[in-house]
Amino acid sequence: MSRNPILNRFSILTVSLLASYALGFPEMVRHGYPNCTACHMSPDGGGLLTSYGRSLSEHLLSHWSNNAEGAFLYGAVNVPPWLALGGDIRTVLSHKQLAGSEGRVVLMQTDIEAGAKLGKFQFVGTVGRQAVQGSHRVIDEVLLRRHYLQYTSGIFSLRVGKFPHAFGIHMADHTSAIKRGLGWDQGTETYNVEFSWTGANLDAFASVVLGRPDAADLQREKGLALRSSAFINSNSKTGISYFFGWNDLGSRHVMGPFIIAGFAEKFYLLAEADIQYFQSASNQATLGSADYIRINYEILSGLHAYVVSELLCLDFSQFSALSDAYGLGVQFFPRPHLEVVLQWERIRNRAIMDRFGDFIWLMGHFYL
Amino acid sequence: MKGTLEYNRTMRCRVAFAECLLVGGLLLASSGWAGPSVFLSGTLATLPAEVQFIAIGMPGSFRIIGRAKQLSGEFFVERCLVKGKAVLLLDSLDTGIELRNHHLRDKLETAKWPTAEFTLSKLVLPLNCTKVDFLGDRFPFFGELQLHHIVQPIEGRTKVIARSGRADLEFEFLIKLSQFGVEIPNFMGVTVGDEVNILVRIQYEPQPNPQ
Repeated sequence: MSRNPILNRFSILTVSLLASYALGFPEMVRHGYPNCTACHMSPDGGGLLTSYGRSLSEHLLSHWSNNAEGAFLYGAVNVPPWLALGGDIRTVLSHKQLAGSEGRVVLMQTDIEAGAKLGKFQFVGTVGRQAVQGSHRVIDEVLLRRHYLQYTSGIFSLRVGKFPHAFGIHMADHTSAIKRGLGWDQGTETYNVEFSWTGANLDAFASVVLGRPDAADLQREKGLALRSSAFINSNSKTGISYFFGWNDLGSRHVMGPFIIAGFAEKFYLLAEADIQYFQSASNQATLGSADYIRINYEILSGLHAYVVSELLCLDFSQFSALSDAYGLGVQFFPRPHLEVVLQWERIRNRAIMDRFGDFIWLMGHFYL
Repeated sequence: MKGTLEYNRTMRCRVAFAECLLVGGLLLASSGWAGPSVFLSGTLATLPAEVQFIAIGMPGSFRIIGRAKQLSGEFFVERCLVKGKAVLLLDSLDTGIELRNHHLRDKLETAKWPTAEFTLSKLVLPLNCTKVDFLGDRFPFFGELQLHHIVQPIEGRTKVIARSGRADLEFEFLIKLSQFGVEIPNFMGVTVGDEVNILVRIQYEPQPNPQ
């Protein structure tokens, strides 16, 4: 477990293994999509798909597809144009071999999501279940994971509500060093006021993070998040993010560059490196970093293989704060609505032990 | 004495000959002995060519990129003045998504008007273009584009890289779909911008003399 008290609190309270994630595919950048709003209602991506996004899932993302197969419930329900409906069911089978051996099957996510559009305004909300680790048992509770009101005019958007603030690569793997490692796992969404500008060559996001006024005991941070990136060569994007946040436990600055780059047609890279400066309420300061690199190769349409490497050390002065991992994975989109990911990583957490252990998981995802 | 004079004369001749060789070599090198200048005069055979368009889709400001390589045509050059014509088979444009290609053909009505014709009326390069190695950017050109049965004047910028008797020319210009009577594409809430950036890339070398 991390030495950082903020992260310790996060990991206890959020039970991140049981949390879900809003699906986003930043690698669409390599197909000429620098911003997320062509496919998602959220300017930062993930969550509810637009009709166009569903069409792309048929024609660009999946290995096989039939016409209109990507529509909501396979087109069985006629959805009026002002309404968007969606939902996700995600389950994971995992096996971890570290100090001991542990296997589990977890129903990570069962969410329904709806979005209504009225002129330049749109409202998006989710209802789902969340399994929270109590002191003795797992408690199942209803969760309103995301809900926000958004005003969009051309390339400008103003969004108010509960959602993850923009920082770095908005990627599906919420367990990575740059997401869970920095305390931004799923389930840590906060109330934010976000202004975004998503141009053809540049984008910028500025969020005032209001924390969780409705659940102060969660100690979600309040603060400010900034992110900006440039679209280069029609298939790559690079940018920088900054976050300043505080809660009762202390305050922190997190900052770092990221890149999503397509190269040699079938290869693409996702990489992010962040540095964190944390100052506890008792004035103890720690400096650390979180890094993530993933190199992907699209073997066939919809079938991607990748190698991944991660490193997390939130306190450079303590060797035991280091955890790192490297591994291989395969991601497959056989048909619209379906995704399967198999990943094997060699992981090492020096707080637990010095040698590497194995972590393998198989994730199945069905979206409505 | 006589022998010394003769020796000196011989040496002077040799030195002069060496100097001639050196100067001649330098002149030949500087005048492009490595190959003829591309931009002197003649008909230019088109080698691999490519057309690329970039349109912007909204929302999301995403790029729709189409490429085609089925381009034919002929260009002529007369002392740094380039003219010519290239014809593109529109059905060969590929945007990377088959459904999008289908929509593109629909909007351009390629069944009725299968080709687009790019006419280069005037590209004047600077006088130093006759050098074998010549690089330049942003040279203005003027011409016409015939698309969707409508002809419109166009103008844009040219990038030139000439090296070792071959040249790459890249003509870049903007068009408005509405000026060519092309209906603005709209699909599943996504609209394509009226302005489309077009790049015509031509690589060529002088054609051999027919005689």
